[in-house]
Amino acid sequence: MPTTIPAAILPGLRGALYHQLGGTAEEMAALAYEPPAAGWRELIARFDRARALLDRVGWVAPDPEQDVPIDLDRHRRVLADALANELLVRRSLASEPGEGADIERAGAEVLMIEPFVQAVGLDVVHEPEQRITVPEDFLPLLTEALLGEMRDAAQGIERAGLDLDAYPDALEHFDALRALLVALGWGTVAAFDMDPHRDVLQRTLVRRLETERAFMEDAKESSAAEGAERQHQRAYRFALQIEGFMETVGVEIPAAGATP
Amino acid sequence: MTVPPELMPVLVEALLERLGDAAVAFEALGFDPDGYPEPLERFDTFRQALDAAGWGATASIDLDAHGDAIGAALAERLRAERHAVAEGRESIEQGHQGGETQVARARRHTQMIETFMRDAGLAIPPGGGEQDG
Repeated sequence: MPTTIPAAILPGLRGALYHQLGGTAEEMAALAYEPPAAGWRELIARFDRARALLDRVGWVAPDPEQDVPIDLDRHRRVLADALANELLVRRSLASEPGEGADIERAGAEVLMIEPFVQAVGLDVVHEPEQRITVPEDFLPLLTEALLGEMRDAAQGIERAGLDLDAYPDALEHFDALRALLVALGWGTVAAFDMDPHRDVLQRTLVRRLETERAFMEDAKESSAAEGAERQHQRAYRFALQIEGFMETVGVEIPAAGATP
Repeated sequence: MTVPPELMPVLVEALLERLGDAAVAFEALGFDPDGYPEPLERFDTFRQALDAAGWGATASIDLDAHGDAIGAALAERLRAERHAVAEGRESIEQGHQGGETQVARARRHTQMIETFMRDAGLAIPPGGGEQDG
């Protein structure tokens, strides 16, 4: 089926195809010369599909950019994948708070790609951001856990001392925690986009859950001591809250269960 | 402003020490988010200065943007070097080994820092320096 790709969406499409080539090449490298051959075949086929479409639309943008006629049946799959990825990136950028030329441009690109995708009936997988709403009664505990982690991360930075090599990891973790705290308005905003924060959220929740489980064990061991029962109940309640939230947002709960 | 190559390691160390101090400040914070902006701002100031210095890989630094952080870090380092000079002298008087090396090293650093701060128009903390020597 002959179809024309409008010039306006070609720069984004070209970028998405380059990205796809690079990503596929990385996956090939990860195969590390190992069988099974089927893995290679699929990656090579994906690579070839992107290369074929780039051959058709041009690897370098002409000046001015021109509409490009293509055989949609031949390029349907790679075109759908590339535009799905492009839409995901542009939508995410367009939804960022604030304003700026980049954000406006991303919004305009989304508005150009969407009608084309609809018009030619491409099966683009829409991946809306995974918006998470933190239950009101859990937000203080989550904020506290993040602040505690952030203090630990700061300790890691302090411990790096004069070892320059130790800073990138320590700063990256610190920044990830800070970014999630900012997304949560430092405890004042309940809804946030899960995707960019999944790893740090999981790590924080696991560590806090382990802490609460340890508190429960301590309380059990010193059950005769004053306040032990209260400590156990509190830790148990927190552990349940954490596990419940982890289950809701689909992050892995560590093996040992929070048993009363 | 171009940082002399021999001063760069000292400057990076000085900034790392201040970054570490700024990081330590988080430990004293509780769970009230309102307490975090100020230490974060201080932390960012030294981190941005380190970024501007390429963590030691860039010789040219914009003092208009990072003069405060660099001035604060070098002033603190200068105090430490002056203290090291005094301490080294005591060591020499007491007949301990290594005092001369410590004094020589600290004086060299003191001189480098003072020269740079003077050239850069940064405020040099009073006292000490070569007049002690």
